[in-house]
Amino acid sequence: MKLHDLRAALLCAALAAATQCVEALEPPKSDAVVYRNQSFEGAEHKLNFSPPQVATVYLLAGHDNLIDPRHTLSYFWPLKREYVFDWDGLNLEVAGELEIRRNGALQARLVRVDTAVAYPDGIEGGRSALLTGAAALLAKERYDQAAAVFNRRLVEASRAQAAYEAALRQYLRDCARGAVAALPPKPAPPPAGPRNYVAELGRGFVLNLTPGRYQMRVVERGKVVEGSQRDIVVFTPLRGDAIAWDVVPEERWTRRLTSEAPGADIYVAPGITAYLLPKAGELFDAERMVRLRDPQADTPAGETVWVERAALPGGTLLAHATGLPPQQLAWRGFSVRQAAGGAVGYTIAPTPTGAGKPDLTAFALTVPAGAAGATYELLLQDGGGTVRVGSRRLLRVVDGGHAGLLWLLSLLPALTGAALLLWRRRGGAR
Amino acid sequence: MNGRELRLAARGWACLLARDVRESLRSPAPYAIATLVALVLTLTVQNYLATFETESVFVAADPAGVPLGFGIIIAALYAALSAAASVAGEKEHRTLEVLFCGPVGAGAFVLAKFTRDVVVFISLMCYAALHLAMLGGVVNIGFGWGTVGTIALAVPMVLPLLGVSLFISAAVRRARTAVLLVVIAALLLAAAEAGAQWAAALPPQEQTLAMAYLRELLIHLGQLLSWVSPLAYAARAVGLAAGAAPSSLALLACAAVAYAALALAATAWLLDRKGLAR
Repeated sequence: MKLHDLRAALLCAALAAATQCVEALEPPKSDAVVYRNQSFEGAEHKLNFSPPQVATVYLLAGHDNLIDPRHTLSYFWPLKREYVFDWDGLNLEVAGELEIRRNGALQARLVRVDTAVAYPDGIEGGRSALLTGAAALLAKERYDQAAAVFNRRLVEASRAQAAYEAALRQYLRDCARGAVAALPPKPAPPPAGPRNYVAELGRGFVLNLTPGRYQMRVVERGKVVEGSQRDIVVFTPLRGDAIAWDVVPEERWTRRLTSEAPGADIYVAPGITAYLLPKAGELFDAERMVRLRDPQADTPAGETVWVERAALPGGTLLAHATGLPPQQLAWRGFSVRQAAGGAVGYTIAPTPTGAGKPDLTAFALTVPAGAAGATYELLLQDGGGTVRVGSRRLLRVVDGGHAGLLWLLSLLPALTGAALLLWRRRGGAR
Repeated sequence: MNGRELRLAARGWACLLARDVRESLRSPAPYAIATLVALVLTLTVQNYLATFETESVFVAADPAGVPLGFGIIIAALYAALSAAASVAGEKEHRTLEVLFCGPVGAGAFVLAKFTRDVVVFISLMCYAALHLAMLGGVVNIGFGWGTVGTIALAVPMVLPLLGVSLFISAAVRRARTAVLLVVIAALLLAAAEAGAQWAAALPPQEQTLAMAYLRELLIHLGQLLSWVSPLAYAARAVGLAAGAAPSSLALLACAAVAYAALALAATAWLLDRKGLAR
């Protein structure tokens, strides 16, 4: 074999190996029944996918959830360490009825219905509802009509704005020439978009179950669809009555710190004003809540997670500290006024009645400058005078004026050891 | 082992433990370590206070966690080094022959050494809790019963480290060699665990195929080490102090106690097998 033949052979072998390497990166895909669910997670419905390799679907008790089993191509993607789906390759509804069983006993047999997820406060409003059947179709139709009207008005408003700008330019040119011209009238402001957003229509099974463990499967003409069996764990919050507190520091009013759990104390410097905002909160088993949001998530068992819910405006804040007069703080609005001129800084003052929307609405607790070392007990009282369960927090005013004493305390063991050793040397331990 | 032998072994264990604890109290080392722990705790609390130079508010569920984590590291390392020096030290000073001539067996001897180290660790942690309570009283930072709970949870987690240190101590002739071996083993295990954590933190999507496989390998190594490495158990104690959720705590604590028991049994077996050979 000549040298160039050998080179050619080696080149062919290298190319063949490279081709194999490239082929090895293409993952094998398999037909699978994947549950594409819109699970209610306490405030909104969130989309998640549950492949056959995840045996359990987690749902919140007492809420409508959209369950949508579909045939698709599934494959494991090692770089993400999870199963992903080729929806473009295959995306078919699994035909049949959804059977829900509990300990083998049939609980319900569901049929697919038209559904739509509606967001009454807009897509970022933090609230959603699952509409079904005729209500879903009607809501979607109304939203589409409202969106079409909005789009038409927006185009008209854009045209009016463009015409106004052209007239304004002409007016300025006329003024520059010295001609007398009338200022063009301002166009109407652009229309506000429809608030009640309704997502695309879908078809699926609506599940609303009580807490417990269930089994589900799709049955078509009396036969169980292969790969459609799953367990369902329906759960409730471990605590549903907790209250989280947002704390807004006076010097950074755009920043919020949150005391989620009753044991999370709030520490403040003396002589400041802290703005406190209560929010409803729920404590969940972390594994269940995380897997409700992402069925393939890996989370250690036994952890808990606080989930913040809606704000709780109104009521009265009771603040009591030993040696200080008790305070009853009202829920009120505050306006932030920037410092005049070029100076940096701002002041926060109560918003006068009728002065428009406040920048911040909260309870304002002013800690006296001489209150270092005091501990306030905070309690939220509702409009009827009842203290809200789970609202108790401790607000501690730190006392940073004893640095020398702190270091001295640290030397106590050394002093004790030295004293003991000295005592021994003098014969104390005979 | 009949009842009389058991009583004799228990008596031997109690005598040895009392002697070792007395010796520990007479040595300046525990006081120096307690001072070091106290200084570290004070420094951490001073850091909290320094926050108020730029901020006026902070929220903390367990402000004792981080300083207590440092305290656990220092106390556990000291107790481990003390364990490493103990058996080899007795060999070096030729006191082991005297002990084994009497009614003290290898089991009672090893258990006494181990108990002494556990007592030292618990004492240091109790002092850390007391010091935190004093600091909390002065600066008004809430160090409550959670601190005591954390210490209680930390105790079983450091037992494997003490057990393995004793085993190393029984396997060598000189205390210095034992201490050096424990330090080297701890550094190697810490490096391996750090490597595994570093690998797990790498975004998998951005790695080459070779790096992705290396990452997988290191992650599996980390999973293995989390059950095999005594340092990993101690690290969990630090994690618990720093606020990590006590996931499968009962299982972990049982595993740690079983690990320590195995290490102690192996140490006693080694001493029995080697006899007084140095």
